[in-house]
Amino acid sequence: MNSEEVKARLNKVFRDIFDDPDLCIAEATTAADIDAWDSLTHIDLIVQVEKEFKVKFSTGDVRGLRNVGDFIALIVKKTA
Amino acid sequence: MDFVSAPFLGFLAAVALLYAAAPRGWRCPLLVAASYAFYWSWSHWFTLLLLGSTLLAYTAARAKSLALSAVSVLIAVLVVFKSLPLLGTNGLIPLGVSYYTFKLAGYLIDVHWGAMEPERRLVPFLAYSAFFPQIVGGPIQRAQTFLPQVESAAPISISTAACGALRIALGFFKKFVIADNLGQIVNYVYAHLGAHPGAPVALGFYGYPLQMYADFSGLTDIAVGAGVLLGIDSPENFNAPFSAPSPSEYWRRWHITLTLWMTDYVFTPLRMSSRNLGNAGLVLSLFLNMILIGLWHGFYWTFALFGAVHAVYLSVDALTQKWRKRWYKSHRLADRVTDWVGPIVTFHLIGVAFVFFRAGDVATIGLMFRHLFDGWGPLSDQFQDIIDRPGCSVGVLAAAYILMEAADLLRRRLWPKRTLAAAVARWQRWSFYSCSALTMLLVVSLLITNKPESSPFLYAIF
Repeated sequence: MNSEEVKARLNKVFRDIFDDPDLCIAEATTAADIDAWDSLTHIDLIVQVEKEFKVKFSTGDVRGLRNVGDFIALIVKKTA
Repeated sequence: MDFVSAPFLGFLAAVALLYAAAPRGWRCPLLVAASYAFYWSWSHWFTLLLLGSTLLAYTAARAKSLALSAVSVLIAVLVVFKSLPLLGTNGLIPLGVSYYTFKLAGYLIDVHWGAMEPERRLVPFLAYSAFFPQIVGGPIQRAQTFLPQVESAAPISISTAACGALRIALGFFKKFVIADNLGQIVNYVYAHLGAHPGAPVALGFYGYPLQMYADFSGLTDIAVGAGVLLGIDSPENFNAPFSAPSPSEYWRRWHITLTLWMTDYVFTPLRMSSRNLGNAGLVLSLFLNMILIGLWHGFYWTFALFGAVHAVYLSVDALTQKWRKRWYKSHRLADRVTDWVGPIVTFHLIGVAFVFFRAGDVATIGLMFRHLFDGWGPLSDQFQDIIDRPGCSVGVLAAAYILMEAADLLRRRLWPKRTLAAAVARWQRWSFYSCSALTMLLVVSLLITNKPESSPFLYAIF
């Protein structure tokens, strides 16, 4: 799966988790750009992404994420 | 050497001058020598413990596979010292052990996770764990932000030094003018619960969170200001916590470096392990995380209860978040009212939790809440005597508190731009330098000639 496909599917997950149908993510998007994105919703996001892409993340994977771009790269790596 | 003393300020000034004059390659060793001299002046034996813990973390990180074992050893040492009061042993707890243990443990976990490479140079690493401005009460700075700074050993400009000095002066103002005077009222109330009517009890209830904020943020101001004089930018610990509109937002603004540490190294791993349990996993992780935050302050039931009370707040906050968001979308007026009411309600919830923190035993908690609504009545002579003292009158304290909030507001706006101070016109620049120098002169003169009867910083005992 390439980065663009991952980004499109990831955007749907973000809209669902943050309950915002207009939300558009970019590689540079960080938790600071989305009001409700905190340490609590972050794990909900991880769980939903794991279901969507049928992958498993470790705590170390999650700790290393700085922005959506890192998240996309991690999903591409896990689904390769 | 007490932070609130002329000798400490003299020591800091001497180290800062040496740092500014030293060749670049000598600055980091100078910070290590100064930090260990500071710690040595407090306790010789525990200096060896600090050195041993640091060498253990340094060696284990380089072996990588030993990183988590070293974390266990460091945490076990911390637990032993925290348990001593429970065993009836009146042994001293090493200065700053909770802070430097968390710094070293966080570094080791990051190396284990591959989030950073092990530090190869021993001297900068020794400076990281022992850096004296941060050892008494934090902030708990991460190795990723400290080590590059100490290795670059940046020179200090006059404008940066002036900003650092003003920040230290703000810390002294918070401690002497607000925290220590409020502390007299709060201490009296907690020592005489049930002996006087409700009004003083309410003063104790509202006074303690404000005392704690003035005291702890004052300690942080001194640490951050002193750090700047030695070429180190420290992370902030507070961001207007009593303006927080919800308990979860409060924890993003109060003791920020501890909250972030616990989120990264305790809550996230717990939540990841329990992510398939749904809301039950969320609540379980919140309770464990918050109770551990409580117990970080000491192994007492009241601290565990303090954590549990916050866990209840955070669980309700998290579990109702989506529902509230949808409800507020269709009730705009209620949404706007909540913007104003939210911080007031949150402050009261925080105040209730602080009763558990301050009480010392479960019986005192019960007494506090039983007498909180007793109503107005005649004040005891002793209490009247306290609030008649010039520094303790409610009017003076309220004015000082407003002044502190205004200074903090300015600090939040201007501190990130402090390097720009060198870019303004020369007369403005020198006015600023003169004001900073005079302020510090005033602080030092007061400390030498008329040292207030100051209690230790509340967070320096953890």
